Amino acid sequence: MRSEAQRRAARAARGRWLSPARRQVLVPYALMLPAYLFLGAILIYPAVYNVWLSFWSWRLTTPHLAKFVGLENYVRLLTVNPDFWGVTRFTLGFTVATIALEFVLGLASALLLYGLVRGRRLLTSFLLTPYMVAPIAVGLGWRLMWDRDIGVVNFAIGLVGLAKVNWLAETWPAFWAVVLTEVWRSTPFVTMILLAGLTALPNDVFEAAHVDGANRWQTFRRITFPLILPPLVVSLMFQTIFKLRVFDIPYILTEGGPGTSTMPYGLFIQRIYFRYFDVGNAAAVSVVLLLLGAIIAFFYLRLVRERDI
Amino acid sequence: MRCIALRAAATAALIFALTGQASAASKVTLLIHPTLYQAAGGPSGVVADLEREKGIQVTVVTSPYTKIKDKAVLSFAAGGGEFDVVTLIGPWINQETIGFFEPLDAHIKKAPAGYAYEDLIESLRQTARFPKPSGPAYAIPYRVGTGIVYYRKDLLAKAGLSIPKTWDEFIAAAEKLTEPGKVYGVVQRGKPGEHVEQDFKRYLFSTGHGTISDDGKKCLLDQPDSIRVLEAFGASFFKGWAPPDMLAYGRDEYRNAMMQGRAAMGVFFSPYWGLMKDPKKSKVAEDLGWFLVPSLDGKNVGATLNSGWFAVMDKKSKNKAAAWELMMALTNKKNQLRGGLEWANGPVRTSVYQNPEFQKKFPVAEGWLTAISRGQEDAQHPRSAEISDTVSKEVINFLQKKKSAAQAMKDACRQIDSFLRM
Repeated sequence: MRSEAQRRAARAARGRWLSPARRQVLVPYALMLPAYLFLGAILIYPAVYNVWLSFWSWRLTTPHLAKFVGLENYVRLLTVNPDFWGVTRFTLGFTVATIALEFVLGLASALLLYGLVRGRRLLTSFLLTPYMVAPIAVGLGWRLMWDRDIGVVNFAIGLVGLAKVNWLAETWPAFWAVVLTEVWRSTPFVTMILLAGLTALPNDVFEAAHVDGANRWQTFRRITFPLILPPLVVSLMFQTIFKLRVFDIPYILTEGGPGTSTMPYGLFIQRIYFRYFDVGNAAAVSVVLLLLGAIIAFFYLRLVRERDI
Repeated sequence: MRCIALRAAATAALIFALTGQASAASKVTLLIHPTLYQAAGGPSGVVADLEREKGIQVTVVTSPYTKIKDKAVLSFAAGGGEFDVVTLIGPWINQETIGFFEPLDAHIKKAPAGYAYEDLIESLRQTARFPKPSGPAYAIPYRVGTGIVYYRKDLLAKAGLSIPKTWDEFIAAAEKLTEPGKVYGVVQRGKPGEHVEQDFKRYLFSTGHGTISDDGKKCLLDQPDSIRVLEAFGASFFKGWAPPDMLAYGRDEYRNAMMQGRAAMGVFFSPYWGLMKDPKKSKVAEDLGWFLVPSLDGKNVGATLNSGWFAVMDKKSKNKAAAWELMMALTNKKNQLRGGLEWANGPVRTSVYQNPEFQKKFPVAEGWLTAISRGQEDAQHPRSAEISDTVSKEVINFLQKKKSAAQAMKDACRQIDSFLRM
């Protein structure tokens, strides 16, 4: 049985714990807690569990034979798997090629739209259409267009006297067919972000440059481009992550062929998990993809931070 | 009052429980490929009849070829019970998956005499047992196709050619039938995965063996006859008598090439006959003929890859009696004949191929039965997917001239043997 003094001391201690100052600090965290729990459940837990699975040899059809193998899945992936390095080469090559083209085309179309006085909205809607089409529809439509005998691409190049190309049946033409289809679909995203960045730029800077006698190229190089670099980097960062995990366009166009020459990580993981039911190996490839994405995102963010400083 | 209320509540609960049980017993879920569902008459076919005649409600879930096994295995691995009956191809019935399936011998024994289990084609009945040919039955065959050469009768006659019996004659015919820019002598698939792999296997199985030995212990691709048929498979492509973009040809492309009149011959899945003879869809419906798949030496012509679909029952099904009724309905004599005549199914019963009405509609029926009885299913092995992808990859390496036929098959066997040792 506590004395009155002891009870008073306990009440005072509680009061200090729930003092207004402490409440002011704790309440925002308490309000954010449900969101964190939700994000934890749908993002962090699956990611951590995936990493854990990558240390197991486990097939869905024989769960009773699952065993912990440590880094063996990674070692086999990097040293024994006959397709892993080819898949990595294609994924990185595809990412670099699409990002480079989307950067140039996205910037050019954003500048073009920004410079329009009339018809900007109409033209913007028109240029954004590819991004609004479902990827599967894009893939099916372009598959017909890249067809050797009946496709419109070979028809067009035939008009200028060039020979037909086996777009989807030879390694390098298939690579460029997949890249160009993806660029056609995704450039509007870059255009949108850059156009928003351009329209948010302050006019007084350009007026001052004009007064100082800067020409268009100087204005673009010294003022416009540096100012839109942050949104450009952010959009390219997102696009890079999307490209690393691409699945739909290569699947519809080539199913990773000819052979495995246009197989990206997404299709590779799908094959290992859904065809071979090899959970451990699929998880290992997913972790490699996650690390790749994290490294690239780190460099992009550093670029933005350096510009800010 | 309170006593009456309690009694009423208890009675209601009892009625609810009883009707609930009755409802559960008369409902089953079927996981099926969309084409197979159409081959069962779709929503107004077998499933509608089953509900009308036996009060069994069938919920149908369709899934394409590349996804149906994923769906089924994920369901089984998660504890099962979601799909009572699943349709799968022969190679997916192996030592890893049979643990999920209900053994059917007891059900077969209790089937009514009219079901005539022995009328199902014997090679398919054997495939439905594991281990083949006389282990417990885990499946009932539902649909089968084999490889048949469909060709342009008018073009063959114009070129003065007779039906090829050997692969050399077939390649020679492809050369003579090619009209550059208009018609390819032969069309076949080269897209990675099951496309090129199945088309190559239609050549390979003409040797009398498949990819691996029957006991699943040895790869047979490095045998001299396997190498020869791979060379035959690539010959027309290398010489320009097959589409130059053959490596991009999947099912749609090679079927359309034939139906649009851009190809003179092709080894096709036998049930495509109905599609290719449909004048609404095919420009060559009137001129289409057939012959059995050649062989290296002209003997045992017609032996090729059989592709059967089978119905299996989930071991965890809560409605096994109703599920078995569904399996019998899909495969009984009446519906197999109906399916063959009206719904473009590939029947699994000998009596259907010998039925006069069926033969009248499909003059090729005799060829089908010969080919099915001489042909074989692909090996049933837990690593069948990895083996198929290895075959696909090495065949494409050969077609891209990265490897000789002998080197490609040797490398394929090296990889396949490592799967067989697992």
